[in-house]
Amino acid sequence: MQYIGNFFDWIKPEWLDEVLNHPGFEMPKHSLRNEARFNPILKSYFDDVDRIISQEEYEKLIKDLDSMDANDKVVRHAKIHANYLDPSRELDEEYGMYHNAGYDVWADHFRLMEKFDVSFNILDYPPPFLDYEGKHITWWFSKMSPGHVMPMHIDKADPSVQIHKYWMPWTDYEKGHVFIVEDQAITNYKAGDVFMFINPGAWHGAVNIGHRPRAILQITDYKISRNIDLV
Amino acid sequence: MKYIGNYKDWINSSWIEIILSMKGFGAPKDFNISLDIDSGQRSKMHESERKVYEIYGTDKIFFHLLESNCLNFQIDPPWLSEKFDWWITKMYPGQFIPIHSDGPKHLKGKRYWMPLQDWEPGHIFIYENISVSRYNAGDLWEYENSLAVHGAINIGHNPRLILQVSTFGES
Repeated sequence: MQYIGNFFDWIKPEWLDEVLNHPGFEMPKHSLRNEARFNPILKSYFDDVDRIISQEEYEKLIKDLDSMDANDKVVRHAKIHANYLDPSRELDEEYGMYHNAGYDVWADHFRLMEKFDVSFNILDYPPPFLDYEGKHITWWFSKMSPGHVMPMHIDKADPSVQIHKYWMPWTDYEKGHVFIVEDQAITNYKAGDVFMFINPGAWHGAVNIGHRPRAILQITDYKISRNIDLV
Repeated sequence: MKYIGNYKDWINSSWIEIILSMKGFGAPKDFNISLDIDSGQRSKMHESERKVYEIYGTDKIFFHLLESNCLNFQIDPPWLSEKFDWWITKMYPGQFIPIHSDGPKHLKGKRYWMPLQDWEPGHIFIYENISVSRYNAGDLWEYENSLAVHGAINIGHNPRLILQVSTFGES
């Protein structure tokens, strides 16, 4: 991890307050439905993130999508991600790996806040460390209470995409707040410190075995070097 | 943590099989009971242990403890000539030991830490602000400060087995 600098002054107090008080979505318990929350069509098919839709409802969704304008960007996106709502969907390779290791992949291991879950957009007041011109930016928060764990994993990345991943704690380090990249633990940091992954494809994971919550902003920028449909 | 040396040849491979096959005490949940589990005689939870787990839940299982009197083998550490106590901590993926400091009974003695398997990503031992990683089975470390704050996590994909040995400053 490459240390970039401290940018705590960039964090607006009302943002910090909202992040620290937001319950977040239970992950990975809600992860499949979380993907579907991105899409307004899919979102309309489940009113409660805890509810798994029935096979009958899922079949109706597929039928409805087939009757919609296939050239519409939102419909195309919904078709790509509709299988996230499939109640009979099998675990993918990543979730299968967690399951085989003994993790309960439907438990509450950490909390996630996507950009549309909070009332602010960090890009309205862009992070000073981010070179965002001509790039596609995604960002989200992960929040871990004592006892929360995020298993070791590798973030999937298309090799044709130039990617930068930033990790910015919004809470001061305390003993038991663990972030591991490969074999390196990031410790003794301050809220507002920014680190960049030297290898965006590195194994990493996190855990909170401390006594207070831990909140992290994660930002990824992509530079596309070939035509990719980003719907 | 002070590195002492590697004692892999001293580890009997049958120990691993025995440890993996035994449940041991589910900590801290089983600390609340005085039952004889797997031939063990663990008494109720110590006050210092209770404080550590208060915010996590004392009725849950975060790791497995196999104390010397639970196991059907004994050890004779070649690096020790004094009286000692020993136990095994077994952590399945997703399990952890919250950050804590050991009780005052460890103040006069020495604390040793030895992984029984090679390190794998996600097998984490935190001692103060450092993490111990890339170790080999049989590597032996001594706590430089018996009361140092420490904790452990398994966010990897296989169980993690650690031998722990304590002396009490008595011959």
